[in-house]
Amino acid sequence: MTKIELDHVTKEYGSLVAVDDIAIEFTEGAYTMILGPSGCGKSTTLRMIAGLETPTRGDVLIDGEVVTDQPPRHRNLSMVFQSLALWNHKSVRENMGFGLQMEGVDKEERNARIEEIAAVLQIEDKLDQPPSELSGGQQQRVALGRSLVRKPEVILLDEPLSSLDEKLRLEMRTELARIQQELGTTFVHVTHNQEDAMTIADEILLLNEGEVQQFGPSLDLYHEPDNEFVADFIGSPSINLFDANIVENGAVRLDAGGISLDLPERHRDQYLSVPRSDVRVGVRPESMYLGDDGESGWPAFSATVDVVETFGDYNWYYLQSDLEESLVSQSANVNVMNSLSRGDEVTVRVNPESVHLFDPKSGEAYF
Amino acid sequence: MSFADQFAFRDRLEGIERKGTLIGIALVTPAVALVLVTIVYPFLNAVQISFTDLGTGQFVGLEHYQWLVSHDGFWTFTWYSIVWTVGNIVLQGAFGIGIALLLHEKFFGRDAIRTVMLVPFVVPTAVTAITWRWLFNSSYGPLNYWAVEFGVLSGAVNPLTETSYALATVTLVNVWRWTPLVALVVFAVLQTIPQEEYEAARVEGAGLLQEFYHVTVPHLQGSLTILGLLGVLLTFNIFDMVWLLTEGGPVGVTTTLPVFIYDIAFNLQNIGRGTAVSVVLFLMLVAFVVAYFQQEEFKGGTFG
Repeated sequence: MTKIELDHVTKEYGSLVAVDDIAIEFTEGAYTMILGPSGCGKSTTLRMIAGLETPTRGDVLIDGEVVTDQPPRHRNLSMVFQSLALWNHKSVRENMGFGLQMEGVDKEERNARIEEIAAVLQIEDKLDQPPSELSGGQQQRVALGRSLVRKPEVILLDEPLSSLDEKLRLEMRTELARIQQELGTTFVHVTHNQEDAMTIADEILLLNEGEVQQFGPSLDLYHEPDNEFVADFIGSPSINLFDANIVENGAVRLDAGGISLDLPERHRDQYLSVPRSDVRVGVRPESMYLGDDGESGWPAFSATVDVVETFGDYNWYYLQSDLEESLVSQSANVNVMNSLSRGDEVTVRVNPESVHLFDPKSGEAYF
Repeated sequence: MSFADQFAFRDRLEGIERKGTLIGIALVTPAVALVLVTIVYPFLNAVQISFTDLGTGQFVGLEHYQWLVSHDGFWTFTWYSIVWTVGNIVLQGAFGIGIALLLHEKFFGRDAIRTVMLVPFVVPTAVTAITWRWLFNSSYGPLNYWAVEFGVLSGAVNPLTETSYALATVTLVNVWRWTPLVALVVFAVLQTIPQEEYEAARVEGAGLLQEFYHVTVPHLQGSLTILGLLGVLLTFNIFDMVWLLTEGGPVGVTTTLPVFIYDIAFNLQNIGRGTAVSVVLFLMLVAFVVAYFQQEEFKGGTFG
């Protein structure tokens, strides 16, 4: 088990700040995803952990030891690259055994370790072919195998799933999670895909423009976003966000686009601490109930169904209302799913427990 | 489909095939004709001349070949040719790869150097030869002047006229001329090697030398194989540079086979013997090419 720490790490390229003062301790033996949109600094962060980039300021620590200026080979880690970076002039076996060869492990033991890992990855019969003759999924396994054979303490993965087709991506995603759990190796995986991150990560580091937006267990990011960016980035379809005013502090009533949402007394103290009268309100699609769903005491308004997307066991409903933005609601209620179609008027109820309020200026969550 | 239909269909297919073959023949005819006229005919003619005494027009059989086999000079000059060719290829390869690796690093003025580097390759051979002869000249050449001035040498020496240095010097001048081409080709290939392949090697524990051996070299292999083939053929046949620098001297130590051929055919006016040497030289190169193509790289090998 190995602990990776970023101690106020900053990386600048000229005037461009790619990574801005990240101070994070990754959990030992966990599957951590570094998530964020293109250009948020996630790959740079990973490459600084790998030792392929040197931070402009700050330190990278592995097991409490500063390794900032150490080359990759002194860090006992391995990396799976986005392009896989397999050597096509070498056989799969030579690719996978390269790290051991560099360590000076003799051929016999090398082969034993390669075959052991190849069996786990189900590529035993491909060992003597060049990687270029393998399918995309098999090449992916070889790249992973090359990292696993050396049994490093940490495996870094830079968008390893992005080149795979959808079906294979889902398969490999599950397999990555399985392998990580079996080996207990610390995985740090960079992705722009929030679904990959939500589904298999133990913890997520969400970055935007080089800054940490939130770091924690993946469900925390979903249920308790620290700011509007996190709320918006995590979850698909995205959370419903709209401008609102707190019109009546005593009763806490949001006057959003002419629709009043009375919020529950339970959170009244928290709402009262909101210093401004205008706020951003966020409600996840599954917290927007349609028709008879939800409790009658919840704030309600009416809307028109614009588009219905069918998934079999649940539907997405895109709704038009007096609010500026169109809203998305998810429903798995069979009665709702059978009765609603485009153009229908429907009552929308909002579960007040799952309403998020954000500062409209800074985007910070109020609670 | 009835039988009749099937036959009709097959006939039509055969028709298309016949037509395709005709078009194919029509397309290669000009190329084949050109090769016949410019290569095969002159070569056969040369073979014929090598069996003839051009002065009398008499068929002399293997006389010219007997002469060259028994001529000590022929074997010596063949040896010089091999030394010259191997020296050129090895040095051009080493310097070319070295320069390309340096240019691959990013540094200030790199683009300028890359352009200036090509100058030796752009300058005509005659100018190159005259320039170097002047540089090496023992009475007015600047190299000797500086060497003596700074006490490196006690007296002026022109390496082009010294039997122990002449072949090496001619080789170096030719290396100077051709290295930029090798460097340029290698540099172009280096830029196609994905950075992540180096990074993967580095993460797996490779140092700089191992990165070079395990990543760079395999990527270069294909281009170097072709460069080596062309290089050997071109270098073995080079006449102008050697002739312009030394005319094959002093005392024949820089006489490679092309120089020897020129000497016999045009200075000694024995076209028959000269042609016989040419034919032998041609056969040597053919043998080399055949041997060269036995390498793995040309066999559609599994890795590459």
